[in-house]
Amino acid sequence: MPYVELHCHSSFSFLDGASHPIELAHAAAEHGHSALAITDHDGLHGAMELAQAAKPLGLRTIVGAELTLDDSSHITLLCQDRTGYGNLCRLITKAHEGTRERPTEPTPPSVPLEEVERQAAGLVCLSGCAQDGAVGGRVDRELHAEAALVARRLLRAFGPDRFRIELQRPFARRDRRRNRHLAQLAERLGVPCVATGDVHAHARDRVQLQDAFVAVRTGTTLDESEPLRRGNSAHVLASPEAMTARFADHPDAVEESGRLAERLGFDLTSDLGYRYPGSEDGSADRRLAALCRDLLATRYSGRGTRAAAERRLEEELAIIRSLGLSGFFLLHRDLLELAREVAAEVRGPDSARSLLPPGRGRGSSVSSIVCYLTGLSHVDPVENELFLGRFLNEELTALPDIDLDFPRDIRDVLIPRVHERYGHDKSALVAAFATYQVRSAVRDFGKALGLPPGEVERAARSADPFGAHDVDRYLGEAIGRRRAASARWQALVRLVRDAWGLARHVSQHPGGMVISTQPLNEICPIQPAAMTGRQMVQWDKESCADAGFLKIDLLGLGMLSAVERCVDEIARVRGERIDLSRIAYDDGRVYAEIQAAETMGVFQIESRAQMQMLKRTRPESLDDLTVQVALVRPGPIQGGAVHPYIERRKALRADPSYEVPYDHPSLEPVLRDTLGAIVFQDQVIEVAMAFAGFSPGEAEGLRRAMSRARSEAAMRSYSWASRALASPRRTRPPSACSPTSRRGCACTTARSSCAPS
Amino acid sequence: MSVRRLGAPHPAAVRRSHDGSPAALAGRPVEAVLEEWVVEDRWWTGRPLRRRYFEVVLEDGRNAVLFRDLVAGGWFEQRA
Repeated sequence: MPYVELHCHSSFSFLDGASHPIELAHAAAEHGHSALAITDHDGLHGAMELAQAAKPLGLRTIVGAELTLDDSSHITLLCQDRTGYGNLCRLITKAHEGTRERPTEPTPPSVPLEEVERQAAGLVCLSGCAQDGAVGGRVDRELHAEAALVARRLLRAFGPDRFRIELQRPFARRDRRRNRHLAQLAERLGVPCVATGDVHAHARDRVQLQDAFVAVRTGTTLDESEPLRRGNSAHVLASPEAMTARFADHPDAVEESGRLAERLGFDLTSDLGYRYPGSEDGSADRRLAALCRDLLATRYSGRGTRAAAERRLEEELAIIRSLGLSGFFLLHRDLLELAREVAAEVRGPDSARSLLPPGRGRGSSVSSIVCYLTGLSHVDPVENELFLGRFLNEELTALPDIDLDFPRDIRDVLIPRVHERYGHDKSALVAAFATYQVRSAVRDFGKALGLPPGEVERAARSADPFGAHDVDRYLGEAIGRRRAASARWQALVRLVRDAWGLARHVSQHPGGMVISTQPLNEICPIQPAAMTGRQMVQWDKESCADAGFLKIDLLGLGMLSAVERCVDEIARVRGERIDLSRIAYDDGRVYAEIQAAETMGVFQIESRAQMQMLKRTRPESLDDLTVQVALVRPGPIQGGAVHPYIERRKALRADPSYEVPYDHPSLEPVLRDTLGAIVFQDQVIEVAMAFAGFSPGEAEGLRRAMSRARSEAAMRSYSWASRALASPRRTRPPSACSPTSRRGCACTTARSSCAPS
Repeated sequence: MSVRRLGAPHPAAVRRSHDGSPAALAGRPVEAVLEEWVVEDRWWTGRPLRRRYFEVVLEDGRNAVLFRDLVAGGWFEQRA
């Protein structure tokens, strides 16, 4: 049986693993592995990322974790089935309990061995790594009696079928002696040994980053941290053949890895069994349709767009029915009603603010007429000709995203109210991962390299936040070319480039919450958030979406709070009650001020970058403002959309008969509003459909791949090139393309999709 | 007055076997390779270190620790 890697850390073993799960998946596939385990420290933060990346590559993901016990030793746990997965989630949740007693100083997670013994069903236990393993670590330190004691306890808990003595070969000094003792112990216990690689990097060129992570994590420098580092590149993912050669002394242990892997059949992409409240309500289709038709009759009464609205509604209801999502929309409506109750409580009776909606929808959901009618959005998608496909299409594989903004005071009461309504054990916040950006990387690794703090800070401040590949240039400008050419500064350049985009630590998403019908800690591990009393799942919004979680985004917006204060103040000073829905969007005096960039304190257009751009784009309408706001984002800036848009606007002002150039005729209807430049994420979808013949679902998948970290690797699995070549509409890619960016973009050109894979 | 490091590695005459491990040290055959390990370090300085170490037992029963310098080449013996 070929070797299978059963012990592998991704970058979600924070400041320890040096490769993203997507990179590990691609490397494993290239090496010819049939499966790969992910066993991050005390967490499943990266498990869904690996599972999603591995699937299109034909690589099977084995879900597991390296769990820390109360005595700081480690065991490796792998999920055999759904029961095992639930137990692993509960164990990890238990490990994190109480780690945020002091919110700003989290303590390391750990779990008593008794807890592991209680929740062993469905899990396979490997005895742990060479250095810190519950058994291997003790053998390494010649504590043989203790090692045997722990091993017997684990054997009793898991049984001879599901407990293995783990052998590793990190090419450290006492490898052979340790493995000999472990093999003898295994024989006495009557269990097989299994070989593992304790992988921490997908390729050799990440070994340096892994070393640097150790220094950062332990608050030391590379020079000082030698005893703490791994010391060589043995932890790089290797091919099955190389691992077989490495364990030439223990061929049975190699075979056992393949045998075990065959039994570990739990599939994270299909076996979760998650349900959201209302997902199994048989009457949901009928109730949603009746509600929306009634609301449409009122909302569109006497309007010229009524027929179009009715057609749009039936189209949406059909898609919603086919996807089984009626319960989803009804749940969101319930949440909005809950928000109305909370708003009335918070604002008080007879408040001038009572005319204001409790919150506002934002994002792709405003293209939905169902959202408009049920009050989740205030934008008429028919009137504004908004494209539905990004939010809702027949090929949707995840629940749609509905973002709701609230004034902060309402949101602060709403979140606990949601926990009460759905159950504290069935609702939690979504995680977010703080990733290395250029400046944070320069600071962290500059310190690890022992570079002068003053120069490190100068280098950090001079670096372009989006220029991970240009650090060399900024360094030279900050500290001089000669100094920048030294070995340590060049090491900094490499580390910054390699770390960019990798997760540094986990934090809380500003407003995402997930709700379930079952206790959440059976579906995804939960850990305390920094805010007292709040808890979060270990997955970010993308992994939650991949898991099919119903995620609601309840965001607190300072500007909405300011608007509410304004309305109150106007009532107090002038005795007037303002109805914001009656404000005209075409006041020329307002646009004159906007064009002059007199926009301090104006939402979305008050930053220095926005104000500089306003004088060049000179918006004259809400549509122009929409483009303006979207332009000042990493995607359009890096994608080269800004300059063409500005130049063409200038040309049109000078000569209204100016003809906007389009790279291809098929792009004109898609890019007319943005004068031929790709600015919005929706346009990425529409370009992929119009130019390369993608279906709405495929195009949305491409857009999502582009917006993820490590987007280049994710998009490779899309095989854009082969698909585009097959499209009869393809002639050559749009010329707005520039070299592929590794960074995920919030709004981007399709340039990454133009690079042939 | 100068300072001299004690026990510094010194060049060794090693005959290699087909798999790269030492077969003899200064003419004395290696009986067994007890341990083999690799050190890759100091890559951030101008003098990176890459060594493949062997702890061996010689025919005469003596232990020795040898390493091959993978950067500059050459074999060295150091204190066991």
